Amino acid sequence: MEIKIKKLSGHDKEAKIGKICVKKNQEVRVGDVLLNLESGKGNIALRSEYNGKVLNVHCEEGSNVKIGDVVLTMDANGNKGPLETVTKKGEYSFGFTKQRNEKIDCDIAIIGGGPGGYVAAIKAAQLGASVVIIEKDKLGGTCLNYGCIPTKAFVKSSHVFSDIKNSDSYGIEVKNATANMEKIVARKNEIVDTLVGGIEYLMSMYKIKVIRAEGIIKDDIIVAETKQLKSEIAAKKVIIATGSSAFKINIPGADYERVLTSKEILQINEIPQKLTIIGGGIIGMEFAFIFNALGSEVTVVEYLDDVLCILDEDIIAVINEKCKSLGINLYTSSKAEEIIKANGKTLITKFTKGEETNYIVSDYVLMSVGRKPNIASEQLKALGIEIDNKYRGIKVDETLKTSNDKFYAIGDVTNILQLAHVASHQGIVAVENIMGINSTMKYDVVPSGIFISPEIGTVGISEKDATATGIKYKVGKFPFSANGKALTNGDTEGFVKVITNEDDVIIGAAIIGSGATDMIATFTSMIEKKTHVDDVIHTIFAHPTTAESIHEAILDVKGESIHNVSNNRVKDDKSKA
Amino acid sequence: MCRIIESKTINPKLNLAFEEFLVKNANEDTNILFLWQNDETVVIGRNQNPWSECNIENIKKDDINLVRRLTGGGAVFHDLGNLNFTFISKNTDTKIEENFNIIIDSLAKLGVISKFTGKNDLVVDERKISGNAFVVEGDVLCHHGTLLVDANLNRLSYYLNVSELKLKSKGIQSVRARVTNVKSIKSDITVENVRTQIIESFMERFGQDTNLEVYDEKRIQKTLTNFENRYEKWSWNYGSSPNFEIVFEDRFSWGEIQINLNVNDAEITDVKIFTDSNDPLLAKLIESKLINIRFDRNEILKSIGTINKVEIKDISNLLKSKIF
Repeated sequence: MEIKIKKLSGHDKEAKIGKICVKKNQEVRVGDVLLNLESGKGNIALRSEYNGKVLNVHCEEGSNVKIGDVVLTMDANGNKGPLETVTKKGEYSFGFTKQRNEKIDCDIAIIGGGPGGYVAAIKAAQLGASVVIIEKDKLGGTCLNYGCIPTKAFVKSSHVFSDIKNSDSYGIEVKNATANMEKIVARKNEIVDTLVGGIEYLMSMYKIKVIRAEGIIKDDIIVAETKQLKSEIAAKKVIIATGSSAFKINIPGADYERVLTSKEILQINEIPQKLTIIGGGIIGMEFAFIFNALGSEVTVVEYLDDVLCILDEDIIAVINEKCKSLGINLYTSSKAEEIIKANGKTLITKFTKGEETNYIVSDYVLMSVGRKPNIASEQLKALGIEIDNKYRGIKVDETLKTSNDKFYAIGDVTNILQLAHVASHQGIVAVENIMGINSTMKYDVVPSGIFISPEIGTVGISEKDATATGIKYKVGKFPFSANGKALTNGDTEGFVKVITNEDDVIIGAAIIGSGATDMIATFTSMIEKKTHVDDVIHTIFAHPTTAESIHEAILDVKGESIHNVSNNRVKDDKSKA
Repeated sequence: MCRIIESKTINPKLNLAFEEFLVKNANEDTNILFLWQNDETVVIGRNQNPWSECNIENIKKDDINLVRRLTGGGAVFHDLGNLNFTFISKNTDTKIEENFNIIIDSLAKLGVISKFTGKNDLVVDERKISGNAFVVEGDVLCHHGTLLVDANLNRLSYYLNVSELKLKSKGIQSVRARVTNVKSIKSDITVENVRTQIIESFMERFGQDTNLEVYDEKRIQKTLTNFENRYEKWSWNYGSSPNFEIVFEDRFSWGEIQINLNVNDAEITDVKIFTDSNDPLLAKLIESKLINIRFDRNEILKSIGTINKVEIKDISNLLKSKIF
């Protein structure tokens, strides 16, 4: 068990190790001083939170350390003890034995410290409001701790392993590379800790008070209570940013230990030999590619007719082809019915496809079937805060206000678009309105990234959207196989696709290929500004980059791409409807 | 609840123990101002090495107290011309600044304009009049400082002047500063009226609802009945130092000798001796007598004294002249 430095004097980020009070193999008890940390003439005695034995001391007296550094490793036997001593008369206590009370007044109280809540808090502080943020778990919320960031860390590790396995084709010979899941998870944890620490720092720099407890709205105040402290917060306005949680479908066997959601699989301590994934949406497919690259045999069971079926057909075709070549088994139009435990570690997933019943054997099952908004129905009902019938999250208007004037809601709890950047922007709009600036939230130009291999980036209107709403559109496309940089990278699958309306104004784009999630940003701005194809014809893109394909795809709308002979190369513009 | 506590004892071991007791019994409502003085005492910071930061020889010779405090920072000298103040309260972002303002206010009312420097000191015209240090225990902040009113500045440098020991220490080093007495700026100031003014300024800021409690030696001892007083122990004041290496060397008629000691928790844990003396056993014998004993003058001399060799007299004198 690693003992890390969690805090220092005041806002200090660095300190010097003073006297180290323990040695290797020394037995320690809860409350014993392990070592001293000095900064700016302030001394903090780091006390043990565990009973156990010191295995190793990883620092030296006189050396500089910072928050997050590991200073000791311990063999902690027994439970983590509360930092209090049983007080007999005359002995000292640390003041933790009695619950203390505090009453706080502020302009804005925010329940939830994820990408919606903490961004709203910072914006509010910038606009001069006094802000309290209430978070029962960790700052950064799902995104930083159990979602976006940790999965991308896994993706990177899986890419490194893939590259090594394919290194021969690049002229590099590597023998015996292995993937170590514990180290992959440790790296992920370090990245997460760094980011969470960064947000804590921002909170203190912006003087935003952070309360570490679950916030419960009672009448007109928010009560957040732990064993040590009861806080009662009276705010002028409240923003609800409680996010969402992964759920499992209610089939027999869903509660078995090795049936995981995304939260648990991010802490897995071994690479599954076989992994069954129920739910072929974004989360399910990202994990399918990650674990396939790490060596698991992966099978995906998807209820709808395609995996990632919100995407256009041409993109799904590339994905299906890739899955076939990588050996990821896809069963679409399939309904998971039951999970059965067999002997040892084996789980059997039973699913039906039309009339057929099938069984897959695996040692782990991942259920990635969706996320439900975290709604405390009773509290909301008592406040007159309504739920939206269409989105089934908290109902909000375009300023993010709920049906109760004092309350706003942002992020996954509104269930409009489950994306971190949407939550952040909703947070900014909500805060601006609270502080008297008129602004409205729009959802029509929201980019999205899918981190499988190859990556996918989409923004604006897709072909499926246009068809469904009866918009006449044109398409320009450029394959990465015709792009020099992609060839040098050995990553030639996929394409850039741009969609315009009949008047050649860019209304949507999709990219599938290496770096797609970064490249899509170029299109977001063009779509917002209603850029015409002609406006971009003379924009220069550097060579050799994969981004050049963006230019070529746009040229292709009029049949004028240079490095490809276009399907659109006809004299008269034919609109595809 | 505000309390103003005055100590009437000038025993540093009692004052520091009492201060520690007040800190460990504090809670989020505590707001204490503690005023105290010590008779001639050197006080070192938690993470300091007394052998490298003070002149132990002079300290021992004059029988001066040396105590280690729980807060960080460097070595200071207390005498009866110095007034110590301690603020004990819940740890908040602004408390330290508020505390300093009380002291600055008090001095201003007595006609002395002082300033807070980035080093957590108070200065008047670039000269230091108050050194401060801090410790945080859970949610409680202890902020204390010295205030040089009419101290004997010569004695100060006599005891805080490092003697020439060849010592490599990982402890926190004192930062020497140019110090001055407040009295030299305004001659009618005394410890008494500074003390009274600080009490008034504290009451002004925190309301009249404060008690003034006076603790004499007996009352403090009673309060500390079941409280372990670490300041009575060599193992805390000297022993709880960061580790260090120290070298003693000299040339004698029989040859040169260099004695390297590694001292951990004030115990000698490693000895390496280099000598060109003709006696092949000398180094080994000394090493065996020094290893695993306390880095304490008497113990060292006693242990070496049992070696029956002619060179020992010279070596003992060498160690005797350096270790205190």
